[in-house]
Amino acid sequence: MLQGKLFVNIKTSKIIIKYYDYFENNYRNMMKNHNFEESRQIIITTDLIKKILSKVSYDNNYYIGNINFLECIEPDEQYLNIIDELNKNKVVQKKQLIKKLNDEIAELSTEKGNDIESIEIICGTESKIRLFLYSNGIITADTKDKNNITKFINDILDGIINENN
Amino acid sequence: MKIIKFIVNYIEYMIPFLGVVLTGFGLRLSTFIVPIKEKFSTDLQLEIDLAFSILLLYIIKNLISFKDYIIINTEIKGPRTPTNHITLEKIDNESIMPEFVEISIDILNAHHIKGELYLEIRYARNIEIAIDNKPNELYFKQDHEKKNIIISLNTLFNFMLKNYQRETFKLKILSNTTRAADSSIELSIKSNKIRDNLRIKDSVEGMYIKII
Repeated sequence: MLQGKLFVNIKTSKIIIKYYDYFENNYRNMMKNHNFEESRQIIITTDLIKKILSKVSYDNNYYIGNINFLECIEPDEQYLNIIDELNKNKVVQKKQLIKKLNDEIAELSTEKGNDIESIEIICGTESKIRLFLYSNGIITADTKDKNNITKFINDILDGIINENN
Repeated sequence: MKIIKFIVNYIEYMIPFLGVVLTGFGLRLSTFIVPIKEKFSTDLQLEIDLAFSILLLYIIKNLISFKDYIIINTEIKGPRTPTNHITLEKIDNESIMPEFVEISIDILNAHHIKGELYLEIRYARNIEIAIDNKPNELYFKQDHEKKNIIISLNTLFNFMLKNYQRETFKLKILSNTTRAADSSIELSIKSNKIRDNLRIKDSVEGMYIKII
């Protein structure tokens, strides 16, 4: 299992992943030694999550796993049904489903005030890898292969979480 | 403002009457300009005096008439309490989720705005912020080196409209420090045209953040 934190270089907009050992309580030390003038923390907002989910949906190598919310009260499962459909559907119907999912997420986040804590993305190639992306920019993956994580970042997150407004 | 505007409009209809009254009380052009008194008949003198009094009142009314100012109000509030103070947790071994604050912008009489209008959000170096639930039309530029976000209000509001408009969005915040500290987010409104008469209601708000 790997834990990492995503940063973006302020000048180059390049994504940086800093790994840490959660069980050794290394998160604080890693952050304490980080130069915030050089690279900034990433906050994964609901807007970014919508873009990530949209990109994942069009990439056959990845599937949307689950969406976890901050509030203890679970929202209705409408969004889960949409994700199920999205994962198995053909490209032609995806556009409508993504719009439905985005609307559902926007409603949960704005009107019902239930923000997303994390999203789970499954890499479906060869051996399956589960990646969790948290709203504070932390990633966890059930692999020790850093190359796979880098590939995930390049495939899905690059150009979204470090895009220029 | 509405009451003052009503009175000013009401007086406008009474100007001819007030002119007659003032003439009766002695405000007469013929008193100041002697040839009028000498060369015109009494009836004509009276008509000139009345016309002068009414004209004078119209000039005064136009000088003191109230203009519709552009009124902009911005508010920044914490999610749970309606105050501009929030507490943020410093970085520790348990990673924390971003806190959020809500920014709302109200605008009235936008039809007077001639140029571009911007909301600048400046934030301290010991925090990181990101705009969330962005309205589709909103255009903004975040400068991570200067630590500011410039929002083009022209993309958020219809400046053709006179009536009241309101927009709200979220700012998500994370602490950049492992120590307890103070922090802040400040808002300011900027215009690229000096002739845009801006009246910022209740001043532009700031957010005080305590990192514990």
